[in-house]
Amino acid sequence: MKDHLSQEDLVNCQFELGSDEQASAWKQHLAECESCRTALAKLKAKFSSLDLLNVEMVVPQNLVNDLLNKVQSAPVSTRIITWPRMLGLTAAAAVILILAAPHLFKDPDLSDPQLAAKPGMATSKEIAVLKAEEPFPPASAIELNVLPTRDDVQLTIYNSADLTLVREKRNLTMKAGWNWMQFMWVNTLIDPTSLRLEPMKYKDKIDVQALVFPPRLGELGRWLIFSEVSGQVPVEITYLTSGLSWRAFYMGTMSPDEKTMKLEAYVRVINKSGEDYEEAQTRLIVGEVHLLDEVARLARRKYPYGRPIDPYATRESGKDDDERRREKGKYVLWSDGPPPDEDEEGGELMTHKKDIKKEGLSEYFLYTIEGKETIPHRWAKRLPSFDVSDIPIESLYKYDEERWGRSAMRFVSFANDKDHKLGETPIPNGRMRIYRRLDEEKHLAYVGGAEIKYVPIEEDIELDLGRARQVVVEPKLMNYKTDNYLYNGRGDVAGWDEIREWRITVKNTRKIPVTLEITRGFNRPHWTLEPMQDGGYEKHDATHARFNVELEPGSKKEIIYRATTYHGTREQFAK
Amino acid sequence: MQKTDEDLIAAHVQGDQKAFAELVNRYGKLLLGYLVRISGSREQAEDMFQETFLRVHSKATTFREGSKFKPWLFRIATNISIDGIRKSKRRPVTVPLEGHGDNPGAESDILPSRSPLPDDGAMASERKQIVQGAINALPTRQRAALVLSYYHGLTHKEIAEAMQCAPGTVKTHLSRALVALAKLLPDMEGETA
Repeated sequence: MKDHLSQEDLVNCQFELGSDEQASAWKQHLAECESCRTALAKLKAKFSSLDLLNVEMVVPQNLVNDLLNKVQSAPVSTRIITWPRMLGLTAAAAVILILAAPHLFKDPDLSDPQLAAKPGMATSKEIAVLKAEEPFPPASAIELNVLPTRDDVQLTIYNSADLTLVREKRNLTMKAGWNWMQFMWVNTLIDPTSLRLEPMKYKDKIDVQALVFPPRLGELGRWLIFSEVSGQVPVEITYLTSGLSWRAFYMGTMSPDEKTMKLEAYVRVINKSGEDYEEAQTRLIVGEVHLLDEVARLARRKYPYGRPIDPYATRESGKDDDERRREKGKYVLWSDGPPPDEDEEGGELMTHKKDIKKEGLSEYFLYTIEGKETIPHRWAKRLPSFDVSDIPIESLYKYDEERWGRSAMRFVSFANDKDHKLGETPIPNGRMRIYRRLDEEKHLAYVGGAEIKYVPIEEDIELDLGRARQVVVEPKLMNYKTDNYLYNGRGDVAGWDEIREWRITVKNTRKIPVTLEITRGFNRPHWTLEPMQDGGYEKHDATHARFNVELEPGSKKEIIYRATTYHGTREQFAK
Repeated sequence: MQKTDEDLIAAHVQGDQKAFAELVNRYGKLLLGYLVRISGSREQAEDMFQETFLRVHSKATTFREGSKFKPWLFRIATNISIDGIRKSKRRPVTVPLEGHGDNPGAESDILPSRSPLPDDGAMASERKQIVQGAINALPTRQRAALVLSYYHGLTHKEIAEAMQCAPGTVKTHLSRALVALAKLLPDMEGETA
């Protein structure tokens, strides 16, 4: 027997890389040599590990889309014809040109039906042929176009519902025949069930047939469009998204005498929708809008319209699937495993068309931000809203122990009406900060801030600016006694008066006069008040009296009054 | 009746956009698999994938009538991958036992282990990395010949056309590649045929 086969021989034998003679010799040797047969078997086992890499590759869809886009944007290069051929062709072309010249430069007769076949517009015959062809399945990348960049976009943000209506204008490149137009919403909060595409031109020649959500391709939808035109077509795409919000901020600057105020309003738009919006016209809705669903929750669903329906889940004899569903009043959305939203109501909702309902609206108002803004994802932008000067205001101090303890509080009030140079639009809720101009050099002092609620037109606004340190109110009980006892049949006290003498010292350490409103409570409706010094009052309500005091700059006043409260059977004596 | 590859490339030259997309559909997986195995890098393979098809598009007019599309496609891919590998000056990839190492794509395309035992899955993953590393250790042309033959079933003649060499040279490349692999690949214990 020959020597054993080398490893190279064994490899070449296994993979048939030798000549016929070599193959024959190896075969004969292996038949006689057990050792070589064992070595060959080991080698085969070793090479079987190559099969570990024998797996089918998955081509990412975005890779294919990107490739096809590049191919579409680059024309097929023209054939390079070598010189000998070119000579003949050039001569032929020259002859043709000379003969055809009179016809080539004629104005086209647009009424000529043959000219309807110019580039961009398919003839009726071509349309019939194109329509007869089946479009490719939506999951293939054939005939697929990816949406080009936006030409224009408008955002209408409904703050109360975390809902934004987006309207985009794009120029799509269509070809005559079937087109698949892809829209992706991955990593955004776009509600795919709200997507709508409408051509702005050639409306009668473009048919948006369906919006399909191919499974296993991720968060994307594809419109199937039949077009009788080829070329650029402007379209409008609308959809609802979540994640955009806005907040109003106000800056009020009071004059040094606190008689007028300049009010500047800003709106801060925050974009957490996952999508960048460039050069967007922004509109803000103030008010309550009633919705069936939350857009953010809708956007995060795995299946836009729920899992495919299992028609056999509720089989009853003699009825078709639609009839059974109508009778049951809802669709069966799952055949195994939990429903997509893990609750029956969520599953039911997904099968119905969504409407924005306007029932129960208090009022809503539309603000349009002037100009256009670019608001990328995770950005916030502050946009100016309005700027009004010399608004007449009232600066008022209040003291009410029951509400604010032993501190005077500062208030600024005005109204959203024409008298106050406002009144054109409601004022959205937001944070207001008030400053006071100290001098002509526009040095400012921060006075205080407050959150304001939505203010309709013709409504008053009162801003609570917090504790006032420069106006001090010190009430002191000077005297207390009880009197006028009444007794019942058993000789027990059944009624009495409580008489309190109060001295309230008020100080104004500011350099401007102030108006102070002091509210005093009696905890009961049966009381009388007798002013003794600067104690002019008004009955505020059943249990409170109110004093209004004007204080000059740097001045001090004392209010003295006697308050009598009636208890038990003495209540009848209250005036 | 389904159009042949050659009909599709001809249609593409005439301006039929669907034809090119169909070719991508037909050969996408095959081509990507080839490029991943030959380059050892998913990222690099995807770049070469695009470059290959873009070159197919730009050179479509040079496709000779009567030729076969598949070897022509692989010729373009082989040229691009050889250039790409030389440019990147790749060394044999040593992949750590844990994690994806330099071959994230190889991991992501590998089907998950069906073994109920977590150890089996980890061992298989380790073996795959060793095999890929062994292939990456081969010289570029030997690597190309091996992948085209073993994983894509091209005949020696087709490989020769793809690599623009003689069929005998292909055999030599294959032989040397397999002999080298016989030394690099680990023994499969207890798994002899």
